Amino acid sequence: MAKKEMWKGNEAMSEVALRAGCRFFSGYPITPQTPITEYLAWRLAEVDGVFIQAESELAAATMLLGASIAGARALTATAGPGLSLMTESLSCLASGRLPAVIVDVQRGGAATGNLQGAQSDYNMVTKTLGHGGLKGLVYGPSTVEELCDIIYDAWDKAEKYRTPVFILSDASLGQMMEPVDIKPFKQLDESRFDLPYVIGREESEKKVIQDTPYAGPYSTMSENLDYNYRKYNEMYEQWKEDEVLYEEYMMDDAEYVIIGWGMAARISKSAIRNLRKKGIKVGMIRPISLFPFPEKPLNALDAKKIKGILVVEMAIPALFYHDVKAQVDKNIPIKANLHCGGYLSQVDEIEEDILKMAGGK
Amino acid sequence: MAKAVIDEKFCKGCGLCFTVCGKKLLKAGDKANAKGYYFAVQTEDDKCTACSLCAIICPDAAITVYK
Amino acid sequence: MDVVYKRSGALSDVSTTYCPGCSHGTAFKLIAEISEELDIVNKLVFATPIGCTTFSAPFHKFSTFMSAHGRAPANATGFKRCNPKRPVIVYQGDGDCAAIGTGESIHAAARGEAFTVVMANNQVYGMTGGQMAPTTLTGQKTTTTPNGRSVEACGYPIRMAEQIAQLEAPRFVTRQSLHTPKNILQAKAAIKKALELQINEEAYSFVELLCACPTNWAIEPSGIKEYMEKNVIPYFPLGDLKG
Repeated sequence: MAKKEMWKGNEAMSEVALRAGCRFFSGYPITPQTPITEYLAWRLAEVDGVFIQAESELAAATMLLGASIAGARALTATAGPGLSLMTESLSCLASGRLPAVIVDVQRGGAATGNLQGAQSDYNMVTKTLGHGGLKGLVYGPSTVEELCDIIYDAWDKAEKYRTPVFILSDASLGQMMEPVDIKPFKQLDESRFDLPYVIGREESEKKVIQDTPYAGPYSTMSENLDYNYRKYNEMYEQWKEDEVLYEEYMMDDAEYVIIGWGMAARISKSAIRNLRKKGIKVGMIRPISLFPFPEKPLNALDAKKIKGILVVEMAIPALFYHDVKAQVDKNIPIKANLHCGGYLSQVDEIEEDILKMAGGK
Repeated sequence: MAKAVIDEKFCKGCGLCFTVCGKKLLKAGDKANAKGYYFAVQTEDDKCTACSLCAIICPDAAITVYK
Repeated sequence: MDVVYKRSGALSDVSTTYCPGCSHGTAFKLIAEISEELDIVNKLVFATPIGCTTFSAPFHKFSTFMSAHGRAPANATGFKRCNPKRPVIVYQGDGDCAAIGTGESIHAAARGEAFTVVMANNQVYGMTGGQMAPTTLTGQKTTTTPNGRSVEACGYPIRMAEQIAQLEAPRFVTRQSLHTPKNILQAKAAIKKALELQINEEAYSFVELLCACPTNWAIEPSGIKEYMEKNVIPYFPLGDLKG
């Protein structure tokens, strides 16, 4: 095993992206994402990659489409307001089945908002990528190492399924320093320039790359879109079998379950360790893939054994909470511990909530 | 001896070619094509000079000029 | 008899969906002819906008990719930077280039991206049925300026070529028209020059083409020449602005 190095989340993620084969980045400075843009500005130049500081997030995300059509592994990163501007391109990527990776280093609040970490962009990317209701793979890592693991494989997944891959980081994860394994460089095969969605090489037979799948067995656009999007949906359904990722933490004997993702889950682990010292049997289910959503481990929670569920989430109104509630047995009491706007989840509050559920033990 | 041949498949009968022919040799024909346009025809091809102005202005690249 | 002029082999055998007299077909024809002359039919990438030319892929033999409305210069930036060996034409309407995509247009030009923008300026939104464009002339009636475009409410039409020409990076900026055979040949020479600059010198160029939309101008195609000379060209003067 390689020796681990101390890296900040944003920089570590950027370096690992490069090693995963990313050779195109377009971005626009926005806190707390800016270190990614700054890092790749000099680092991509060292590997003959392309770095573009775009005129807006709208343009930055659009450039991903062109880079992907040229056969490059392309990345952009943003935060809050920038994500709003990128949604048009997310829709085009999902509909055109173009692989690319997008990282949202989430910050607090809506509109201009705040600069600290939050999880309020959850619905915006797990429910639909932009207009039109299509999906991409969405991940919510909770450590720098996990962020790196996910981005290292992100383009392999993106290209396997011809889909955008979305990573929900946040201000805390982006800026904290942790030991990580900075992985080896992946070598990419030249055959990628002949892929169906790639206009590669110096010349080629005619290729028509459309952001909407008009082509199909029928004579009208609407029939073909219905036909093609139905097939997309079959792929999304298959992801539930093949691409679900989650962690179970201290679940063997758990009577109370905390369910959270990303930073909220990480903070909750401290509360769980404290509560265990007090004799409370608490465990955690932590979705890592947010789409596909880990339904099965939640469906499997047994009302005879589990006395309460606490969803910890950094979003008000609650977003992720509703996805959890829809999957768990209705006989298990469920509560939410929510903060937003850059106000992180608090260990003592989480402990209190579980203690209240446990009847003040 | 020259002539302009209009491909009825492409002609939409816009008549731009009528306006540029110095000899006024082009006009709308009596027959409609599959799209319903009365496509252009050349009359009196013996007067055609193969100047190609009709073909140059044709937005539908429907005209071949021979000389 | 010898063939003096024939349909370009870079056009497909499919009739366009454009209205009779529409200049988009003329522009496509010129690009097709130039691509044969430069022997780049299998190399040229045609980036389409949103507008009447969105669904133009069947009409020619070039590889092509679509973009969201106004975004073609950004999309083409990503493409060309990652595959610099393919010549790229970004074909846009006036609404695409000079309204919803103004930011992408100006910044791609400012960066001097190695592609050629061809902007079809017909002073109206054609695809959606004749609404005001950023280039709609003062007083011109459209479905959203039913009493004619008023300066008080809508300001003045944008001269996009002049906007691009004041930037440092563009090598060649010109405005041409497609309303007479002479102008069509001049426009062809301009597009060819722009493509040659792209291929040989990795230069950005901008070719604005004054186009006719007889349907939404509500005139017969036979009246295009007079309309252009009387209304359009006085506000949008022809000629090279740079290079």
